[in-house]
Amino acid sequence: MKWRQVLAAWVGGMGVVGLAAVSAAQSNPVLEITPDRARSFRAAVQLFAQPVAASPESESEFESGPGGPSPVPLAPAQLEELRRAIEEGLEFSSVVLPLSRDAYLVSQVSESIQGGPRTVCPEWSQSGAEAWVEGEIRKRPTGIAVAYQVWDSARCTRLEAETVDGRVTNLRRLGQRIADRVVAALTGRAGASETELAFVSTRTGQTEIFVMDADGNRARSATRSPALKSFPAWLPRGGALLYTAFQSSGVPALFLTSRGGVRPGPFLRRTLAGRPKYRGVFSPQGDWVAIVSSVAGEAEIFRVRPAGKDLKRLTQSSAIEVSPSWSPDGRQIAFVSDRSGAPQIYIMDADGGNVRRVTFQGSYNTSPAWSPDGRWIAYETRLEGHIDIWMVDPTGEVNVPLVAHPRDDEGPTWSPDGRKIAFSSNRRGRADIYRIDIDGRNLVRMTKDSGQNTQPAWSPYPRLEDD
Amino acid sequence: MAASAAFHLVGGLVVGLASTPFANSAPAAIQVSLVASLPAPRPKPATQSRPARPPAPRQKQVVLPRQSTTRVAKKQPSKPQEIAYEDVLSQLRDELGESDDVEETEDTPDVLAGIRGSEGGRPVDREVAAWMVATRRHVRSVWVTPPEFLERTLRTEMWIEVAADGTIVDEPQVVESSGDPFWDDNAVRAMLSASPLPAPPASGRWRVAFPTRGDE
Repeated sequence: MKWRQVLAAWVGGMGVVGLAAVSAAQSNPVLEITPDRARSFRAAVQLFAQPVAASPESESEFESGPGGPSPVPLAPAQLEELRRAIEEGLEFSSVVLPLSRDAYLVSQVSESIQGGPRTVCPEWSQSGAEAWVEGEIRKRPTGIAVAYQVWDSARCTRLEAETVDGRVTNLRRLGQRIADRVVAALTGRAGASETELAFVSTRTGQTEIFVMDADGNRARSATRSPALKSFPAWLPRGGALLYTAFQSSGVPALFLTSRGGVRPGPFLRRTLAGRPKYRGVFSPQGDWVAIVSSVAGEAEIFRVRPAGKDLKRLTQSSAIEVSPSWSPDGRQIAFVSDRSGAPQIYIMDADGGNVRRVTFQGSYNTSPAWSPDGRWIAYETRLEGHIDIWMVDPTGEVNVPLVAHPRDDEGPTWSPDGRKIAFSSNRRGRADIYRIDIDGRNLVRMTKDSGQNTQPAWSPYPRLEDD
Repeated sequence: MAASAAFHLVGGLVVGLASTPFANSAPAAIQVSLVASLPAPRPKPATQSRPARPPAPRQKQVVLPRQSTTRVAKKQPSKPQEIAYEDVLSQLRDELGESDDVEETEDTPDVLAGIRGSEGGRPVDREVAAWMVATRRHVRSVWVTPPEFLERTLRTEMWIEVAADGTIVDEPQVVESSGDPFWDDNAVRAMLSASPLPAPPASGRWRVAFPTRGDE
């Protein structure tokens, strides 16, 4: 009988297990449980604490105005603002939603986050929260530090404990960053609420590149000139944008924006000199730029190092080849070619070899956008006289609709977490930027200003040292 | 730009599309057999596709992109030793005092899916089968899993220790990881959230599997 004890210890690692239990386990069937339906996680966001340091200054009362030394960095309204920002960042994810504040069974305010196991786990679990977020604000010489923790209420374990630095004037961004990390703690993939979208807008009367936050707020111009501009594309490190502008000569050329710490102005001016450069797209690794230029009047795709070396023509047909989109590993490029007589999506290796066609349905498939996880290529397709957005897998075997509407939906771009797609649509008359979850839920119009808003380009994840 | 504009002028034909049918709901495998499986070869469970529900009304014409499709119904001939699931269900209803549960019609066909013997060829006791049905239903009612997990094929297996009153003793021990620690955690979380389970026929250890979908 000894082997059973050994087996029990080996199987469970739980110490002493009764022999009867082992016998039962051996004869019991496996209980197999599949999920009945998908639901979002819920996380409770507490009001973060502000522990008062035991220093002489701490005897003074809270002062919100400038000047006097204040032991607590944030006013009550600011604490609430931070909490709201975290909740809205979670709401953005669609994956981990904030627990309704009416559902709280325990205090809304974080205790000191120091210390060990929590006794409130069952209460949070009963509230319907898979996790809760607590934290405290600490003063820093320049700004504040927010120490936060993410707790799993069912297992009563701490999933994450981090400190993020920021400024009192940008609590929203701090909250988004924390929310994105909460999503990562529960799913393994960070949320993307702290990202941006570039797009082309005519709202100023000129055609400019604009940037807005992923929640649709803070739209601001990234360019200012009369030149017609198009095709904004982020540099892989984020911050800066590459775009196309039609110069006074009428020849399109590539430019970098003045934002994001790069030297603004013409980019790769000596590459393909004198020829039009319709569009430039950095590889995700940043080691190549795919360029659409023209040969004998037909658009072709080239690649070149960002410093201008190793120029190579990738497409060789006499047809039109445009719209390069890199695979996330930088080894392949999806593009559009009309070599079959109508525009279709193709994939080639990054050196131009191994070309294969991906879309076979319909006679108009353009604007491929490769997903960050590599599993999908979103693209435009013309159906019954209007343009919809579909997704095809790189083998071409699975082809599914994502956005279908009697008006045109164009220019898909992926959020860096791969959970959402933004696109432009004229469904309300003028063109606006929308975003949608890739399961087809949560359609949100992001641009609310006048003018035509088109060609969205979703930024990479922010770099944490950007602040 | 010029090329792009050219593409906008191309086409205009009505395009016929044979889209792959994708259901918004997870296709559920239905396991008809309750006979404990023989060591080898494992009998292929009969499967039957759950009728695809129409897409959620929130966003019309939008379909969840998933790589699994509904499967062709395939029914296995019944075997003499099987327990009719109607029997188990009626027993379950008596036990739980359920009457006109609206969800019953949806859950009924596959409520016994995945129950099979881990070893030996004996049929499952009726009490055990009923407890498993009740437990499975209970865990599913508290289990929260976002859709993005369900796009993949994942499976976690764990041992749980269940006291006579249904309480789960100690943390479940994951013995077969899915390879994704977040799915493993999700399954453990589901198990713990479900404690106490319906009182089992006898206290003891149970092996529980959490696949993202039924057997293919």
